[in-house]
Amino acid sequence: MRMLVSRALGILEALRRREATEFTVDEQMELLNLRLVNVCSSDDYGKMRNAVRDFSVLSQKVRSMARELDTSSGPMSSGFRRWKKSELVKARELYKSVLARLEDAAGKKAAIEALVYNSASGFYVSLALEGRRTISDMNSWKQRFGSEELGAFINRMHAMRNSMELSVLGASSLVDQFMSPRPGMIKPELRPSAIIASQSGVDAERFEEMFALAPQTHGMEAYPEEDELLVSTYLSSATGGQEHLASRYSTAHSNLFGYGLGTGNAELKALALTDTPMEQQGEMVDRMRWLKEIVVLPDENDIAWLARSPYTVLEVKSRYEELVSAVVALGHQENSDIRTACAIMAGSALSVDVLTRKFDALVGQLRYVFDAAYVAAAMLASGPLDPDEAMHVFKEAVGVVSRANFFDDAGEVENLALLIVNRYGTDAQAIRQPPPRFFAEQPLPEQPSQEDERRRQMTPWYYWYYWHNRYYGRPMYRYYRTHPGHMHTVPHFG
Amino acid sequence: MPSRAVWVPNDPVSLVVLNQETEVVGNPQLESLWRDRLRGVYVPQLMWKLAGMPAGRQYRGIRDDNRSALLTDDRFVIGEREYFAAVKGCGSDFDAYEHSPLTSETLQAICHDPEIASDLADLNNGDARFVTAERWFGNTPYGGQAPDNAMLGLLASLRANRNEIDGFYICPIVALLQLPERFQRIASSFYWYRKYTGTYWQEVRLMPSNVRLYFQSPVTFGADTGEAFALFNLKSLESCEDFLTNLARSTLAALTLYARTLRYDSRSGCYMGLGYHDVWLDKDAVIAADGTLHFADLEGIEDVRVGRPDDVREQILMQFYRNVYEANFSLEATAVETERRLALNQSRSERRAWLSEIIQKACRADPYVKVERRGDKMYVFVEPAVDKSDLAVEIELFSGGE
Repeated sequence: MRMLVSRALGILEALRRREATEFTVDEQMELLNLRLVNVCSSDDYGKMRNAVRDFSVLSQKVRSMARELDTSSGPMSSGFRRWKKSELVKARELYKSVLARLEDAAGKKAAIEALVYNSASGFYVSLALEGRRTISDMNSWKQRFGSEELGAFINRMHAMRNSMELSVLGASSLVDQFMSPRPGMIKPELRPSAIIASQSGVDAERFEEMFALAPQTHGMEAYPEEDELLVSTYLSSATGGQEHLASRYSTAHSNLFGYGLGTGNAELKALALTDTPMEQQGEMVDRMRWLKEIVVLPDENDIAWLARSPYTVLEVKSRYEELVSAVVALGHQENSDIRTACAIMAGSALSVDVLTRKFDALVGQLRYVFDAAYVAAAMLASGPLDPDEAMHVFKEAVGVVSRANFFDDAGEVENLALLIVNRYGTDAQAIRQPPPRFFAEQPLPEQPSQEDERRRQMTPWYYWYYWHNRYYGRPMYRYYRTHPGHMHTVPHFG
Repeated sequence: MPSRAVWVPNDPVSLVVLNQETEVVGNPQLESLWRDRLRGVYVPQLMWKLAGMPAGRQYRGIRDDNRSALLTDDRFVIGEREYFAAVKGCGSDFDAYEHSPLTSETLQAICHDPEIASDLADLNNGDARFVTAERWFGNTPYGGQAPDNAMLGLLASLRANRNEIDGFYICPIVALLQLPERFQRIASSFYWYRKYTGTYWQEVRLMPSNVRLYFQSPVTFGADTGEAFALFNLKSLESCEDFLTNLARSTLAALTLYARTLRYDSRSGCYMGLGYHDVWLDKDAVIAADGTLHFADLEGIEDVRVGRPDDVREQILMQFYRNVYEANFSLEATAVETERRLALNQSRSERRAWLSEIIQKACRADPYVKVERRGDKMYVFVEPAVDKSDLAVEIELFSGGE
């Protein structure tokens, strides 16, 4: 029987607190094989204790030697030795060797202090570095994966980290390949596009092809070069060749203008429709027109976001208004950021009540991390992850971007991480796992029912775009019609 | 392999290195660096043209603060660390009173010598970096350096074993040099309100980086910790812990500089030790790539003389408390960024325990400082270089939770 996550967490937490704990030889072996603990036999323990027996004497000797070697000038006081140069060189060499012995003994002493005796195995055990990280993982995910086998859980975490590393590595390579013939291109503008392209599996060749198409796209002639990056990112993740995509874009653009929706950023809206089949673009435009009539929003771009939700127009209007009321009732002042956040959440598959509580928990954690913490909180709340889980993935993403030094200004890091985390935070597979805390009131059956399957299908799997300090999202999920009035092709939101 | 010198890119500075002889006061420990590589007076382009373009070679430095340039092509290794040269007092790019670059027009307006003003009008030069005679920061020529300040810095450097005074690391001065007469005459003609009447000097010093703790550099450790980590290439827990340990060791040394340099002068019957005078860790210290804090602006480090043992203890406490917040800030910033990069998810109490272990480890071999943990409290036991049995002081570094 393999060890479960909940059991391993109990053992490792005890080791972290350096408290005596008992676990079987098999359990010890499994933890050792997974490199979560270090193990030391009684013999080795005894030898280590002997080795540090003279630690305090050695420490005192090092201090005395260092004082004696003090050579700074100034008025000479009694007790300061006047060194000949050759003596000084020798004394410094001797000091270095004694210092090295002290460092070695200090390392052993620290190791001994961390060891806990396991009477079941007769070995001394301490928590390894990887064990500390695993404790943190398990605490974040225990509600969802507490009954999973430890090995499977660790593989799951490794897979998540590796996938993030690969995304950033791919993005970094794309930036390098794209930048080298264009030394004047602004790097920070390129990074979000590169992350998105990397996650979509877009290679440099495809990106180049679409970048060449961008300036020919209708209405984009006056846009600066860095904006064309977003255009090429949108286009490169859609299927089809240059002519096909250009044709779809033109149809979308004409439709928007033809129905009076050409205000605001019509080019961006049209671009977001390029992966929509031609015959469904009309329905999308109808929904946008309807919403524009019946919903009051400070930013027209938010209407496009509501239009692409998997709900009827009246349902999404109602959800949006309920969310605004609920969020304001939490004590947040209504403003354009709050309304945008509510528009994002209105399109989620979760209930208004669950969304409100998740949003509240996340806003507290993201305040001061983002200028627009409401929007970022709404992005994470809309996904199926519990706030603690979402924050755990977000912190991992921040770490990956930072370690790869994939930024010029530290202010870029969180935005890039948010783009990465949403790839995981909205993964449709996650919703089928046992429900964590925030889903307790709407549990999902283990065997997905038809309704559950429909919800799963509707759960958006968004790609997010970052452009001029605004996020734009588009689901990569296939179109799933639930009602003639439902549309799922999504342009953007802010 | 030595820890490499690092610098944040900044505006280029066009200088001319003059060949001509001038008065030089050097640091004998670093004489070979001066003799072989750094020899010369570093003057701004515009001044060089006004002086009739005497023989010299062009040099492209990097701007550092308002009157210094980094000479990053000239790098040297001391011990296990690489340093680049920097010159202080080679002109300023910025107006002394406005938030704008110095321009040829501004210089003409503040020039009090009609002949030089006329020459200046004939020079259509975009780069208006200049050494002026406006009295600034006490009695210092704006853009240049005054001899007394420069000499104080050199005296502190002479007291060091090259780059270290008993565990306290410094950016040592290699040499001080006086601007040639012609250049001093030009500089003394330019001032806004109050004219400086002394001689004009420069300092050539060695720096391991231009990343200051919190102020006065394009990337500061406190405000842009993530960028600093990228610059220092810190990616693993081991490298971050080593960095943090070096930072803890060197900041604790900076907090106890007085105690570790304390001497008893039997002629005057007084104790003397080094103190900080109008210099601070947050703006006057830089951090090397291995985490070792180096004090850069040595002109504010001078002996403090007191007579009684009680006053010595008071000085030790005062120096410690004056600077401990800045030191803690740097340690906290490093710990937070390490946790952020490696997604360690430590609680605040775990971070505090981790920092306690690091500080204790860092000071294990320090002859002047012992760190003791008692429960969740941590104490620093400072043992001065002389009369330690009488003058030792215990200071609470971390308070308990009661």
